[in-house]
Amino acid sequence: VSDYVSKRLAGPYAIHVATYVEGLTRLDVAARQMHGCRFADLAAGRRDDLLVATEEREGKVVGSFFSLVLAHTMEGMFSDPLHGGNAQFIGWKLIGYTGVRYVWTESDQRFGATIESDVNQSAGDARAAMLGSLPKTT
Amino acid sequence: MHAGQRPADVVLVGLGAAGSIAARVLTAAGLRVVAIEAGPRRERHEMTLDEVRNEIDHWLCTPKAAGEIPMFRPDVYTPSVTSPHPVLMANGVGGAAMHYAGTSPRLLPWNFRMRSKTLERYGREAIPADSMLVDWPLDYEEIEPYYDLVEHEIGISGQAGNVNGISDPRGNPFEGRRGRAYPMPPLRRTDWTELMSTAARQLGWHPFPTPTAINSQPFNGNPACTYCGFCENNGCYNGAKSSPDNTVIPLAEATGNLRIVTSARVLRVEVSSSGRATGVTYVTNGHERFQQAAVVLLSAHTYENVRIMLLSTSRSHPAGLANGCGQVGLGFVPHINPEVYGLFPGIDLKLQTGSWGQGVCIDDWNGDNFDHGGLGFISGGMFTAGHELPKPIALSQALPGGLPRWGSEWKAWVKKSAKSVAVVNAQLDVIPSSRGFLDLDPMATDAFGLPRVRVTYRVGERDIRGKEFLVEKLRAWLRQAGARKIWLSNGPAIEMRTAYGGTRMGDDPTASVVDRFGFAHEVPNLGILGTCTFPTAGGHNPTLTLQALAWRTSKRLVDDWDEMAR
Repeated sequence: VSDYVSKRLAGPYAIHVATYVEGLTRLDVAARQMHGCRFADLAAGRRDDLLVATEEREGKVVGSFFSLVLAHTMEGMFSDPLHGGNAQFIGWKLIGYTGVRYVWTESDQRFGATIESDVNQSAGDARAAMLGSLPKTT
Repeated sequence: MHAGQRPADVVLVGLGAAGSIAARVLTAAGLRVVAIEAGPRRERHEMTLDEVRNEIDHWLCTPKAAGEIPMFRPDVYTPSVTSPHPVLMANGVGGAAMHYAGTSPRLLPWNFRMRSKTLERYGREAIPADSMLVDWPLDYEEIEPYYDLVEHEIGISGQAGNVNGISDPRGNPFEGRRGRAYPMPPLRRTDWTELMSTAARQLGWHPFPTPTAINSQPFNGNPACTYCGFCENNGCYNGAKSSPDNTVIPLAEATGNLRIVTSARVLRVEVSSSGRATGVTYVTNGHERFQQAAVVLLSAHTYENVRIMLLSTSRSHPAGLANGCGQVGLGFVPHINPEVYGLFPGIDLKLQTGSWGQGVCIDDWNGDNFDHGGLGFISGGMFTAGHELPKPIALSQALPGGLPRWGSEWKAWVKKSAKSVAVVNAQLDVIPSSRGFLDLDPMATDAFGLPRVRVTYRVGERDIRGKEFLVEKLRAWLRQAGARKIWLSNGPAIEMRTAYGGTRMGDDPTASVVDRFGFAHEVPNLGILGTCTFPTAGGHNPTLTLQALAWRTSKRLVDDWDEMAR
């Protein structure tokens, strides 16, 4: 997920860099005040406590540090791996999403159908598998 | 000679759902048409199955529209901000019809007579004081032949409910009488569509397959849909979507009478000293060009059509084009589209396969198909349950109230339940009122330094009552189908992607902008296409109706060319 966020901050999300820097700095300041170390060095439980406090303060504000981090984390975790997140399809496997296909058959769409092969294709994989098999378009 | 210097018979501003139908009809009649399109040409191989690119980056909307998002304010006392409600104006040859889901119902006959039918059944008190509710200047019977032409020209898949007065219980029993059935059967039925159809029937409702501009079988040289599930906010990778780029635009180009200028932004409509339109001025590659034409058709999105008219000031039209009576911008309404989620415990619904058009609709709670006595609102909206949504990223945050949005409890929920979450929605017909209008924002400009359009709109009390009523019915539908946890989404309060009014159609030149055929009362050789001409919104997706109206406007032009273009 962090690869996804880094890539996006260097591209389409460049306008959010300042919010990230300010938000991360604030987390570090709070961590030092409360526990005497950087946010990244806190135990997981204490990190969560600080994040919960941040969420309570600003979580519902559109464009706030917390709401951006949450949205971008979910994007990274559940987007196509070609964007840098969802490594080894970890996010898609978590929710039982079987990945990208150009063709879904009638039986694939049945409730509970098990998809036998090519589980968790990315858009790039699906594309490579499809190219050449389609009629040429102009 | 510079591109754009040869006079055209007709210049089209925008080559989307509306403009492409006009291009098809006009070029077939031998008229020379130049289409000025803000975006580029897109190719099928560019359409990829990628939620980030389609739903988050909205890649089809970026070239022009990103810098021109309308400003928004709830009322005249509040400063405007860039619209917090999503507004997606796709650019490119095919326009927003490239990336729509393709849902293509007709309006109900009642929609065209909404004011008089409401007065007749419920009396004057049913119409709120601030309402601008009117009848359309045409009846369903007048538009029916054009619905038929569009359905068969571009290819709509669906199940008719009323062919020449003979009803078919598999279709929509509330639809107006139609001349022919759909040219293709509905998209493939699934466990999900049958579950929701059965639940609706158990409630006494009348489900019908979603009428959709997607090929359920090969049609006019294009292949059938393969149910990849990436229709929304994306074009079709194999041409199975009946979008203009796959259907009417190639046919229009094949006549040799259509020239398309891409990546060109229209600045204004030019007029003669007598106030007639003479053509349009546009910018491409940093150069201003003038395209002369006998007739100008504005066929961009509502926000852009209205903006261009207000920017086109002249000695004969000092308040903007065809705005002598101050009507341009009035009667604006969006849709209000509540979405309700349901959890079907233990069922892997497979909703991420297939398209939204592979669905089932309900019209029992639309128009005046139910008694509104004592309800405190009029009209309603169509319901849809389909495949494709929610996609994985959206699904990760489609959470019932009380559940944390991250952390271990959240993770346990998505692991167990994400594959069992479904969404249904409704499209509320919002009544036009003095609360909704468009004008130019004096404070916000685009990359050209021109004012952006400003939306002023506040949801009315009756609209809220209508929404709450529909939400209760959506909940009942999900509950009947077996959903155990049901909750309202936190999606946008206002659906601004669909935008009605601004250049309303009417017979009274002092109370409307265009006549019953879509031509401006004050500028007879200026036609306006799109939902901006709708006098009322209706509780259905508007695309098929705007396409039918575009065909009718074009037919009028062809039939009376000598008079219209003199």
